[in-house]
Amino acid sequence: MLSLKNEVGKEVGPYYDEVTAERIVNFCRAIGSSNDHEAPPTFLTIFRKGEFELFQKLGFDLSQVLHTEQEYEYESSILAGDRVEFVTSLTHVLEKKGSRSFMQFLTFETEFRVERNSLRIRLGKSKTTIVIRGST
Amino acid sequence: MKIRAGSEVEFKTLNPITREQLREYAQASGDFNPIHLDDDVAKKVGLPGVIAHGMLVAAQMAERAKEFVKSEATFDGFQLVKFQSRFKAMTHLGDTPVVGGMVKELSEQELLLELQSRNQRGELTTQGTARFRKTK
Repeated sequence: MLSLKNEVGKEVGPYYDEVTAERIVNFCRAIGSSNDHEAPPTFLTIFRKGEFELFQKLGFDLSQVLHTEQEYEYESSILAGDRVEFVTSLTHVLEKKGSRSFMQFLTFETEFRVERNSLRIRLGKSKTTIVIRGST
Repeated sequence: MKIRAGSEVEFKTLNPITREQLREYAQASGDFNPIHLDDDVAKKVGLPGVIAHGMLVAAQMAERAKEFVKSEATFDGFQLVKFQSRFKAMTHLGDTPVVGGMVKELSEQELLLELQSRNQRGELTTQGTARFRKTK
């Protein structure tokens, strides 16, 4: 696989997606949470469309991807009824070369916003780091 | 007992990871990476079979952190401002995550938890931190 270093800065979006009470309940159930009305901290992971699209644009398949690190910063809580706007970009590429292997660690950042009462509010941001498996 | 830096966030043993849960989590999160759903694809990329989504374990770790903060009156008004997780080893079908950690830093305004998820053999699969800040 070719080096993706010169792809840093590539951005996709904005995307828009609706948060419903049902999506929150389903997410809570799937992670085994006893709470079912508040969006759990990692709920922002449902907005990975930009990452998936960038994977495709950069030329690798989802099954080659191994997630190594995830970070979220929160500014406001996400609520049922929110129409979330998000933009994702590739912000960092780290190459590790071995004698027979070539691994690339990619970091993607996504910023989340929502409009409430005609005010644009920042929900927070996420930072996803993945390694591409078998990228020799 | 008064909570201070070094206090334990009691480890809790969760339910074993099942195929049904991985399907539910894929549905709820939108992460349909076949390495979590299809043994054949997982084997093709060198895994023994399907593995759990790293983000599912991260979600359980974040829930444990929130539960800990909610259970202590000292932390009334504390809000999660940052959550970070690092995936160290895979979680397989039938594994039972054991989730807990310790208080790393504590002041009147801030709390930092260090979190871990281990499997039933005691092996570390996921590491994380959760930072809470007093907002009111």
